[in-house]
Amino acid sequence: MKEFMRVWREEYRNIFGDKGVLMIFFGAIFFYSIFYPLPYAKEVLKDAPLAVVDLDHSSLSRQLTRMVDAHESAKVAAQAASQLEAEQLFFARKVHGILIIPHDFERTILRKEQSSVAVYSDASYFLLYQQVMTGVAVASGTLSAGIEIKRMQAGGFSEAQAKQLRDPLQLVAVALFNPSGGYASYVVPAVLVMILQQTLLIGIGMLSGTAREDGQQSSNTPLPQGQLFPQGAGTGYGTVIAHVLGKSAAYFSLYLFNAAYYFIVLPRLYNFPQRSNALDLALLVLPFLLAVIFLGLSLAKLFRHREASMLALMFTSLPALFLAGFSWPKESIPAWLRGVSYLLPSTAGTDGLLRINQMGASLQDVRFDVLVLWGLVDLYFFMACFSIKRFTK
Amino acid sequence: MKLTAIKRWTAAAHPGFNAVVHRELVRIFSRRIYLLMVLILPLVSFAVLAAIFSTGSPRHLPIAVYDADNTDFSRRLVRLLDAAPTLHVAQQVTDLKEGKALILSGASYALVVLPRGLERDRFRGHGAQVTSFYNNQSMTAGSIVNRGIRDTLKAVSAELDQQSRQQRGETSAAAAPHAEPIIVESRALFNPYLNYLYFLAGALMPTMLQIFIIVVSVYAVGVEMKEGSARDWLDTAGGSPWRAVAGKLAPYTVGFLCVGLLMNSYLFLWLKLPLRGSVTLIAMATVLLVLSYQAVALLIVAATANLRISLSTAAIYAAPAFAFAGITFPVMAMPLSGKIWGGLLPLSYYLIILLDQGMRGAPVSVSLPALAAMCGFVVVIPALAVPRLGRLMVDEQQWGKR
Repeated sequence: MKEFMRVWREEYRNIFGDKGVLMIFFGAIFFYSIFYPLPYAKEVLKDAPLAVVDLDHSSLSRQLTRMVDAHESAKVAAQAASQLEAEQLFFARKVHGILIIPHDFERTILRKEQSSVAVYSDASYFLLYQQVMTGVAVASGTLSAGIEIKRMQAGGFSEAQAKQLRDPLQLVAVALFNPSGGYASYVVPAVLVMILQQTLLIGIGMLSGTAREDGQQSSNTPLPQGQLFPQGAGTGYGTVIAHVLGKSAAYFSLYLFNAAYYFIVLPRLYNFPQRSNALDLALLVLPFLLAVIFLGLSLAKLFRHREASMLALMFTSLPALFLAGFSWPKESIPAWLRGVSYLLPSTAGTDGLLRINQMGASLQDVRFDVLVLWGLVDLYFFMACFSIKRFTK
Repeated sequence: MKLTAIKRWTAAAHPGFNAVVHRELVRIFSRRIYLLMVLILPLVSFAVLAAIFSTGSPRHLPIAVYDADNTDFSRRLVRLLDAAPTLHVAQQVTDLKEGKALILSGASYALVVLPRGLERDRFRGHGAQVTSFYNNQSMTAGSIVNRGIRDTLKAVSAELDQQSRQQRGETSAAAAPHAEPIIVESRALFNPYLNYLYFLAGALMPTMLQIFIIVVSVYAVGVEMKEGSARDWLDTAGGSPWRAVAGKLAPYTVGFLCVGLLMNSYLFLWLKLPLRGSVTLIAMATVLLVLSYQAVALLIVAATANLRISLSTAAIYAAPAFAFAGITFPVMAMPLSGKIWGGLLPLSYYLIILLDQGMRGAPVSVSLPALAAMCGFVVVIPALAVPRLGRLMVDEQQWGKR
């Protein structure tokens, strides 16, 4: 116990005496909290620009153009005289969609036949594609329904009857948790989990790399020398465990504040949906942080230089983010890779934290994630003890 | 390769560019971190990304159904939902609470509620209503599932509409065109099957590559200051900082060009991304991508004169680049500060060229501004960085800082 307290205090000294580590543990945490959400500040993409090629020049074709322009997801940025002109605008990225209204559009519809409009949309940018398609589909659907309901009313049906008749099976779709489809609310909470994990891993690696550079002379000697322990406590398992736990206590106590900043303060600041129960949140953050810390300590001894952890870990963030399954559905990741991905605390951590914090799930709902995290805590605790013991012999 | 062999192979007597290249090759092969960071890890990370998106588009996403009607009609709806390619009815629940729990735990992305009286309402000609709740926190899966449910029900609705018209005495042939006066024929340009692999892999792999380029370049230059070997480096170059920098970075340029070539072969030949434009332009852009990130790395080391701070700066610059490059969330919707930051990343221009000349098959002229911007990085930034770097190489007070 005394050894535990000593290591804990000493690790505080190492952290607070090292500007580089402070920059990672606190500087990066703060900086990224402002920088990362920046591109998504407007949350949704409105007014995706499209060009209209109106070959009909009728009142109905103009009405359709106006209705597309009026829809919030799209805007008519240009009226092109020909398809060729529209294509040029498209390649120049002035527009991301083309709506072509055929020349007999109005006449065909007045003859009570079907007329089709063509819409080309830019599928190299999925969000733009979606917005252009939504704008055109909603506008033409509304126009179409209006025409048909008028026809039926002419045939003697009331407006309400006509509506029911033309759409006998209606669907009411309710978007849960992120009703407006905000992009920041979708991406940023997951990225925050990743930042916590990566900064912790890099910081722990840096502390250990520094100790390796400094050699045994430094205050950060991996284990106390014999003379410090006249009673001969040596390097038994008790000391190793005290050592791992002491260091972990230092990181954990500091990262509790970071986690509170990321999971409680920031969502409010950015107006993300937040529905969590504080106790459930805490009970998930606990194993997440412990798993990351023990993983950090297990890896730490691989880094022989101060910068090595940054070098080796920086590139892992992006693949880890996509492995976490928040954007690419976990069901679509190959099973073997999905299994391996659970070795990263961020996989279960991101899933669990999004569910608890953004979706309002209870600890019971995310019990699988909690179980995985506690499994990792055990696994990496043993690995950390093993790694520290091996390198002190 | 054996270190001695390298030494013999590249040995150069006179100080200058060749001597620096020789010195660098010896350094590269004496620490495994270089080989790891230049060749092995980039390729591993490409493979992991390709594996993640290897299914192309999500299919059979799990949804839950609460069938309170339990009639022939409602059971048919459940079967139709399950038959939709993007959907899989994984669970049938017996109340709303159970359905909600499934969404919260992640076992299902949506709950479709078929209310009691659905079949009866349909026969009486009352509008029958189905409600779906879908998880829009998982936006990709949520919107795919929502579209699948909507399309399935729309098809049933159109079929019912046609049936009732026939019952009212219209012939089938006459009834059909009435259903919808305006049809929208939609074409997804460039990526007709909305393949996520094409959409994301083509952008993510260059994003990974730029992280490796900048980190390795910063490390290779910065470590000379940290370990106090900068004077030796400059002497090997015969006192010219330009030659010193060029000789040092050249081996990495070659290494990353190989990785870039492998990346593009992987994207266009193996993953079969459409390649409809100019291969030459893509090749030129890839060269410029490597050179421009090496240039930025020089500037970062020159500005900070400290390996660790340089690496942190490089991390801040390159790690979030994907968000600012405007592939997933378009540049036009970003605030001005985001647009400016995106414009300061060579990656943004590279991805524009890659898209234009790959998937889009745009005319070459369209990509020239982006190419010019990348040239700008390669010309302007070293002019700023190298003179100052030259001063740092002889300033012993700057050494050993960490």
